[in-house]
Formats: sequence, C-alpha cells, structure tokens
Amino acid sequence: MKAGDYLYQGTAATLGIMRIVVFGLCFVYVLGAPYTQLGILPTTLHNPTALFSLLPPTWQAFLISQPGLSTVKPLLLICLICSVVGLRPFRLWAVSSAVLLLVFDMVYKGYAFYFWHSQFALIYCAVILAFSPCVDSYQVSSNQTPKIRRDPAYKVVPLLIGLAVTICYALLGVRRIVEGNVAIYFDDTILNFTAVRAFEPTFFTFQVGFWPLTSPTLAVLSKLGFAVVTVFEALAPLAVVSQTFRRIWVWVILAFHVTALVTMNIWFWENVLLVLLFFTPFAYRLGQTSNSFHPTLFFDGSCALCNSSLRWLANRDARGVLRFAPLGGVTARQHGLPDVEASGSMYLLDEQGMHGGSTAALRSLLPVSGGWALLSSLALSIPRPVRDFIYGVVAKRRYRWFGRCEMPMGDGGMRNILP
Amino acid sequence: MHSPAARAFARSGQLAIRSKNKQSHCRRVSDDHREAARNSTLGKSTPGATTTKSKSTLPTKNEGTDILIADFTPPHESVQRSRRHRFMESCPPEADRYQLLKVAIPPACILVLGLSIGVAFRDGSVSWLKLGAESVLYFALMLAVWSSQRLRKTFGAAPRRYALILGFFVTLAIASQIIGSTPKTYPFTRWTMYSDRSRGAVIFDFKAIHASGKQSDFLPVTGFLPPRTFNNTLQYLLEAELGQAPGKPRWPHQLATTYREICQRVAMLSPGAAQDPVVRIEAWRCRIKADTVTPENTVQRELVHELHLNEAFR
Repeated sequence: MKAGDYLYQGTAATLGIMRIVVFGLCFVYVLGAPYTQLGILPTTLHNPTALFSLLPPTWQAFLISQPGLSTVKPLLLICLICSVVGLRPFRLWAVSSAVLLLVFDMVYKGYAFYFWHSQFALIYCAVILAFSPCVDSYQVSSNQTPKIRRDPAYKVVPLLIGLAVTICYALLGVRRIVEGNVAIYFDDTILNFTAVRAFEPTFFTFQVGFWPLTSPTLAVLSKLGFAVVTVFEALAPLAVVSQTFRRIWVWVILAFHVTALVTMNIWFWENVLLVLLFFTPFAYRLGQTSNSFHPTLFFDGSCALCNSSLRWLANRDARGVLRFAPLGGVTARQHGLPDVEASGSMYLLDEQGMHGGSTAALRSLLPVSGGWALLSSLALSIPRPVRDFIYGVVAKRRYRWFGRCEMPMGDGGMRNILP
Repeated sequence: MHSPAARAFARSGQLAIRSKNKQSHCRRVSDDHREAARNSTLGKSTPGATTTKSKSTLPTKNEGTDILIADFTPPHESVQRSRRHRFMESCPPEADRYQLLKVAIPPACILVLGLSIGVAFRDGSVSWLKLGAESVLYFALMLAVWSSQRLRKTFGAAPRRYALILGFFVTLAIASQIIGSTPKTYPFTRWTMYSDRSRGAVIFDFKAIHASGKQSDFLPVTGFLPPRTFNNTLQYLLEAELGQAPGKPRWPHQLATTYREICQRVAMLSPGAAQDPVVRIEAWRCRIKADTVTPENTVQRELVHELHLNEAFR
C-alpha cells in the first residue's frame, strides 16, 4: 500500500466503484419501495415539502396521481441503471437520476407524515457523484482510458462525500448532546426507545430491545453504549482527517448499526454500506492498481492451467497494465522468487508489494475490465487461510488435473511477457 | 502588518521587517539584519537617520522581502540585540497566526450564514441558549476539520466548485437543523433522534379479525416492504380519529380506505387470505413503561378502536 492516507488517494477507478455502489444502492431502495401502491392512499394525506410546492400545481397533482406514481418509478429505475453502467452521456443520466430520486423520495415520505432519514445520506452521495467525473472508469466502454486525467477531482470527491455523510452523524450527535443534556444518559430514555422500537411492527422481529428492561447489567451497558455512540457521532467528521480516529469510528458506527438492528429492528443498510465504501480501503485499493504502475504476475510456465489463465487475463487486460514473467526466469530470480517446484504458487508484484497464493491470483484480476475487479475485491474479503486452502488444493493437483504445456511466447495475446 | 514583537523591535531602533514570504519569516529577520548591519559598516546607511529605504541592499522583488532600516545600531547594544533576535526567533511566525485566521474564516462564514438562515426561518423549538451551545460545538468541529492542511490542500488543488459544494452543503445542513421542519427544508432533515427524554411511550398494535373468527396480526409489513409509510399513515389517522391530535381533522373515511386497501393487498399476496377475508380491524393502544417494568407488565394493552369493514363500505 502506498504510504499515506488512502482517503486522499482517490483515482478514476475509485470514483467508478463509488458510482456503481451508490447508484446501485439507490436502485435497490427505489425497487423495494411500494411507490406505485401509494395510489391506494387518499391524495389529501400527502404532506408536500417546500421543494415539492415549488412545482406547478398541475405537476404536483400528476406526481401524486396513480399515472404519475406509475411513471416516475420505472423512469427512475432506467436512469439509475444507465448511471450504474456509466452509459454516455453520463451527466444526463446521473442528473436525471438525482432529480427523479428527490421527487421519488419526497413523494414517498410525504405520505408517511415523517420524513425518516435513512436514505438522506445516500441521496447526498448520488447528487455529489452526479456532478463529478465518476464515469472515467468502470463504464460500459471501459476499454477507453480517459483523455483528460482529473486527478485533483478524483481525490477531492471521496473527501466531499465522506464529509457529507459524516456531517449527518455530527449534526445528530451535537443535537443530542445539547438537547438531551447529561440526563438522557442516566435515566431510562434509551431503554424506552429500544423497547418501543422492538415492539413496533417492522420487517425484522428481534425482541432483544426488551432485555435491558429486565437486566440491570444490560441496562447499564445500553446507557454506556448510548453515550459512547453519541460522542463518536458528534466527532464523525474527524474521521475524514484522521486515519487513526477513522479506524475506531468505523468499528463504533458499524457496531451501533448492528446493535440498532437487533435491539430496535432498525437497519440502516444504506449507511452501513456507505461507511464501508467510503471509510475502508476497499474502493481506494482498486484505484491504485489502475495507474501507471505495472503489476507483474509470476507464473508456472509449464502448467496448462496457469497458461490458459494468463491468456484469459491478457485478453481482458485492455489497458495492458499487467506484465507476466515465468517462475525460474530472469525477472523472477531478480526478485528472489523460488523455482516452480519449490514454490507451488504464483506470485504478484504490485504497488503493495509481493503477494503469493490466492491473494496473487485475486489481485491480478483488479486491472481487468468489467465486473471481475469488483468480484475479486469481494473475494479478497474472505479470510486468507480459507482462500489459501482452496488455492493450495488446486495448485497441488494442477498437473494431474490440467496437464503440462509449453509456455506460449509472444503470441496468443501473451504480450507484455518478461523473461 | 507587523507582529507586536516586530513593532517593538523597530521602535527600539532595530530593523523592521516586512516579510511577504510568510513561510520563513523568522529566518529572514536574522539574515536581513546581518545584511543590513554589514551594509551599515560599509557606510551605506547614515547613523541616526530617519527611516530610509535602502534599495541597494534589498533582495529582489521575487525574494519577497524588503527591509526598512530604522536606525543604526550601536555596537554596545549587540548583546541586547541578539537576545531580542532570540526572542524573535522563538515567537511563532507571523505567517502562522495569519494561517490560523485563514483557517478560521471559512468555517466562521459558513456558520454565520447557516445560523442566519436557520434563525430567520426557525420554528422556535430550540432555545437561544441551546442554539448558542450548539453553534460553539459546530464551529469547533468545523475548525478541527478545516485545520487539516492536507484537506485544505486537496480542496485547493481541485476545481473551485467542489469547495463551494461543501460550503453550500454545510450551510444548508446547519440551517435545516435549526429551522427544525423537514418538509420546509427537504432534502435536508432535522437530526434529532433520541435527543429528548422519553417515558411511557404509546404505540398502536393492529389486529385483524377474519370471517371465520380467527385473529391475526394486522401488519402492513405483510403486504408492503418497507412498511414505514403505511404504518405511519395508520398511526396518524388513528390518532386523529381518537382525538389525540388536537386541531387536526378526523379522517374516518381515509382510515377505513387504508385498512381495506391493506387487507386487499395482503389477500392478494397470500392466497389463503382470500377464502377467509378480514371483517374487522381492532386497534390496541400499547403503553411501554420502562421505569416500572416487570417481564409481565412491560406492555399494557387497551382496545381503543375497532372498525367493521363491511359496515364501513356498505
């Protein structure tokens, strides 16, 4: 890993991943919302927002009518899909998605008499991404490299989104500190809230929220956790500027969301995924492999499986980022790598150093276009011993299962091959 | 603009330095002084003269420093002068103090703007005292974030619109928090979850009575996912029906319509429900009292409303 804070090392690929995840989450939210069924409710119950009231009366009437409800949702889903895949003209699709998302959300929540906040952070992210160069990577025509490198913009957008997300937490934490005062951390406030939420009918039916009412130890722990979470919520924006604080903050906030699920049946799935996306190195690592550094994959030149895999990789590495070198060759010896018989594994040298086993195999997929990079990143989150075990089983039997062959040199797409 | 230390230094007959290059101010004080002293021994400045601009000894414009020779320093004051120099070098550079000001100005402007908008449209739910305390915390937080040089550099290197988006976002977020009404401030919301003290919360539990006499939970969640809209709508309509929302009109027909539509939706999704339709809905008021709780009486139930669907739509 490059030295320094990963949050400040955004690239075109980082923004590409963020675009896919954020617009993908919006798609899931819109798809799951019973929007068209709102037509069964009397229109007199709709509580318009100030923004909605700015629209002409005929538009307002149309948007809350059954034809309007039936039109907006499919239209928005189409725009969101186009934004996810990065279809050009991207700005058109992304801005349309952002506008329709706002209309959708304000109509949907306007019927509930309470504008619940779980999707607000997601909407902010979508709006910011709609105005950023997030389509320079991971788009349907991903073989094209962007003509203009917009490095400062690639770096600043994750920070901007990170601040937007954390400010939401901070406003809540500060308000709770000021409004609630010290008293709410010592009385039964949080016990009441968890009990009520545990009782309310939602999709989840956990009853853990009642436990602190009957257990003094759990009651104390609940109050303590409430105070700790409030402090971390109030200080949330510091997670953008301090890597040390961020590490702790991410764990506290994730623990808070999981606890809110089991005690209050409230699951902020959007926020959990946004925190994982913007405040963990996942998306940033992907970006770092797509710059000028050329990762080198050291492979067994006499293995049929390795050779066919490398040919497959080379065909999909449209930007020609990867370099290949046989184990036992000059390049491999220069890096002090063992011979084929001694190693029994492939190796990958990238910006973060030398990797072996399953990590090398999966990381070599990162520069590959399409969804392979995303897939490999997800696979990398599997614990390494598990991955290495599976890799080892296949690697040991590779000659028996797939046979031996001659190393193809300079043909069959195997360019960028080193001695 | 000179620092107090520099002004004192100039008044005592030494050099007054104006540094345009703010990064290395203290270093230049001593360098320039040495140069000026060397020039004075060469007779380039007149002892006892009033302020004289010595162009020949000035660094070029590009070097960013100009020197005003205030007076000739007698040799016997050299010890005292070096002590003053040490003091000058130990005090924080002028540039650092400017830097602090520079860092504090954007958050202060955003806070003032956000507060102004918020106070102009606020619904009065937050007292002035709490508003003041909240503002101090917001400012401290913004200052802590914006004082990160790396963050400022990144925003400085990027196109200006990203910094403007950030400023715009923070301003509106603060204003909305103070205004306190999400319909007014959408898409910015009022973040107040679990900020108030809660005791003895009341919620409604709905039961469906089928034609066969069977009783089941009447949950919008069965028909809709996520169910929040329909739960909240039912709760709102029922509160109005029971007169718990003073000043708000009753919506008996809307309540019945919502019940029926949810029943139809549930029946559509679960085939068995069509043969045994729901004929009556019961609303139970449930109180949860955490302070006097025992496992048996955690939830106290009371039937507050029932509606026969067939009669309602006859």
